[in-house]
Amino acid sequence: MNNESNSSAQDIISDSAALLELSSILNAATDLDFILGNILLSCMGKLMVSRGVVFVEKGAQQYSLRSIKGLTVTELEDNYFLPVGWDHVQKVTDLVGSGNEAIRSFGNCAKDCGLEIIIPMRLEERMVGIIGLSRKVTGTAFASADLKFLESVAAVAATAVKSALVIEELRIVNRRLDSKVQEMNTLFEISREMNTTFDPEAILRIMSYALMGQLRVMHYLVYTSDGERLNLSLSKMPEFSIEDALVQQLQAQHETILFSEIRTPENEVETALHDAGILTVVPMLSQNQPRGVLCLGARVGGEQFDGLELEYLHALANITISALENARLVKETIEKQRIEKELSVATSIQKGLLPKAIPEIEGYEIAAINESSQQVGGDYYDVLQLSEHEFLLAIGDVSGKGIPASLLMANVQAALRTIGPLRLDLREATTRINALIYGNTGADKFITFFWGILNTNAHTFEYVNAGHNPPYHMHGEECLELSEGGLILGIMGTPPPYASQQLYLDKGDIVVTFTDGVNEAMSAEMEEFSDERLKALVAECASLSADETLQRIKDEVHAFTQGAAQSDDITMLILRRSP
Amino acid sequence: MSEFSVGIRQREAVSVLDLKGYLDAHTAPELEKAFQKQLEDDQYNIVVNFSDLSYISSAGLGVLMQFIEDVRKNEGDIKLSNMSSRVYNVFDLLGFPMLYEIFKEEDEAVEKFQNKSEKLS
Repeated sequence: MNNESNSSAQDIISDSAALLELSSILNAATDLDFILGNILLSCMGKLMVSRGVVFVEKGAQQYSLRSIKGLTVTELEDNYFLPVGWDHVQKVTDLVGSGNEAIRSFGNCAKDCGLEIIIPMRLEERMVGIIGLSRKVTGTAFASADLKFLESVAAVAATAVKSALVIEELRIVNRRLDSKVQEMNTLFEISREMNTTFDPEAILRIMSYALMGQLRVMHYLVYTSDGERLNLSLSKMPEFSIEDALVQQLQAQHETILFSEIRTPENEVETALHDAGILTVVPMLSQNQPRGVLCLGARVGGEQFDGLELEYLHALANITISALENARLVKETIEKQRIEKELSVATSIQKGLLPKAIPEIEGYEIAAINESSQQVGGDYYDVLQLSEHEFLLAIGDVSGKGIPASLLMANVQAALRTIGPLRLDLREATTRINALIYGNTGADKFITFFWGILNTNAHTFEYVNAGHNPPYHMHGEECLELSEGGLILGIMGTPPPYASQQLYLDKGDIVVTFTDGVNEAMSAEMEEFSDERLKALVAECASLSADETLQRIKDEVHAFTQGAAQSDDITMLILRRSP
Repeated sequence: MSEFSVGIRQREAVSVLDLKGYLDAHTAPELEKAFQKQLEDDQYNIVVNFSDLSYISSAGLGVLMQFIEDVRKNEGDIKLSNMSSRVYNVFDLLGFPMLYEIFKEEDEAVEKFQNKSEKLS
C-alpha cells in the first residue's frame, strides 16, 4: 500500500517534470511542425507508444493531418470532418460504433492504421487539434494515470498549437500580401515602361519579361488585330503552326480559355490550339474590345494559374494591347502629318512650275486651268513665246503623286524650257526630252505629253502627242482627235521615232487639250465622265470663246462629279483662233 | 540614366556575372545583352552574383528564364548566389527556387560547377 502510494507520488512528480519541460519547449516555439513533433515524442516516450499522429483544426470542424510518427503506411485521409467537441480521451473502438457517420468513418480509418486512443486538444470551447496514439508497446492497456497525463499534455499543447496556427495563418496572409504587392509593382512598372515607348517591339519585349519572370511561361504567341484580321505579332513557339483561317476565328474572343481535364477543346480552333500545345488563351482587350489574343503554352513547373495569377495575366494582356494601340495611333498621326506636309510641299512646287502669266497672242485666245485634287497629281501645262509669231504650247501628266511627281514635273519643265528655244524639229526635240526624262528617272516613272508650235503668221499648229489623251480640234463642224506622235516619255531610252502633224487653224477653230482628270472624272455613282461626253461638249462650244469653253467644261465636270471626291487634278489648256 | 550594370568575371571555366543596382523592365535589356554574350562565346557555366543588386523585378527573372533552356540544353547551368533577403523574397514569391540552384556564397556555386566537370573528366 505504502509502496503503491510512493510509486504513484513518484509518477506524479515525473509526469509533472515531463509536462513542465514540454510546456517550456512549446511556449518558446512558434513553428507548428516542431511543436507537434515534440508533443508526439513526449507522449510516445512517456507511455511507450510506437505510433502517433496529430490533426490540427483547419476550418470549422475540419481537421487536417499534420504530423505523423512511426506510421509508415497510413490509411488516413488528409482531412476529416469531426462534428464534435470531445472533453476527454476517446477510445477508437467507441468511435467505430458511433451513430455519427463522419465520426464512424474517422474511427474506422484510425482503427485500420492501428490507433487506439484519440486525445482532444481543447482551448476553452474549441478543439484546436487531436492526438491519436497506438497501443503501448508493452501490450498493457492505458492506465487512468496515463490518460490523465495525456489530457494534461493536450491542455499544455493546445495553447501552443493555437498560437502556432495563428502565426502560420499570418505567414500565409503575409505572403499573399507580398505576392499581391509584388504583382502590383510589376504591373505599375510595366505600364510605366510601356508608356515611354512607341516601339511595338519594345512593348512586346516588356510583356515577354513579365510572362517569363512573373508567370514562368516560356512559350507563347501574341496575335494582334489590325482592325480586320489577327496577325502574329510575336512567337516564342518555333514549332507552332496553325491555319490562318482558324486563327481568325479568335477575333471576337472575349473570354479566357483555360484548357484542363475538365475544360477540353470545344471547337475546331480550340482543338488546333490545344494540339499545338496552347493551354491558355487570354483575350487582349482595349477599351473592352477584343483587339488580340495571347496564347500561352505550359508553365515551367506545370501548375495551373491561380485566381491572382489570372487577374495578373488579364491586366498584362490589356496593358500590352493598349500600349500597342497607342503606339499604332501615334505612328499613324505622325505618318498623316508627314503626308500632309509632303502634300503641301508638292502643291507649292507644282503651283510654282505652272506659268504665272500666259502670254497674249494676237488673233488668238488662250485659257488654262489647273485645279489640284487633295492628292496633288502631276499635271503640267506651259505656254512659251519662241519668237514674235511662234508660241510653244504644252500639256503633260506625270505618273505618281506627291513630291516625286512634282519633282519629275520640274524635270519636264526644265527640259521643255531648255530644248524648246533651241528651235529643233519638234519630233527631234521630243526624242531629246524623252532621253532626258528617261535618264533622270526609273522606268516606273513616265509622262504623257502633248506639245505643239503655233505659228501666228501661217496659222499653223504642228504637234507631237507622246501618249497623251488626244486633244480635240474643232475645225468648222468637224471634231478631230490629235493623236499623231509616239510613245509616252520616260519608259524607253530610244523609242521609235516620233511623228508630228501640222494643222491649219481657221478662224474660230479651237484646240482643247486636257488631262485625264477631265475625261476620267468620276461621279458619285462611280461613272466616268468619258471621252464621248467631253467630245460632244467640245462640239457644243463651237461658238464660245476659249474662256467660255473652259468655264463650260469645268462646270459640266463639277456638276457631274457632285458629291464625289475629286480623284485627280483637272487641267486644261485651250487655244482658239479669234473669229 | 541606367542605374544598373553587369560586370563579367571569369573564374576558370565559370563566368560570373556581377549585378549591381536596380534591375527592372527598364534595365533588363542590359542583363539580356550580358547573357547573349555568354552564349555567343559558348560559355554555359554561369554564376550570377547578386551581392550588389538592391532590387529585382519580375522582368529580371524573365531574363534568367529566357536563357535557362538554351544554357541547360548545352549542358550548362545558371546558378545564383549572394542574394539579399529582399531579392530572395521576389524569387521565392514567384516560385523560382524550384527552378534554380541558389547559393549563399559565390564560391559554393563555382565549386558545384567544378565538381561536376571533375566527375565528367
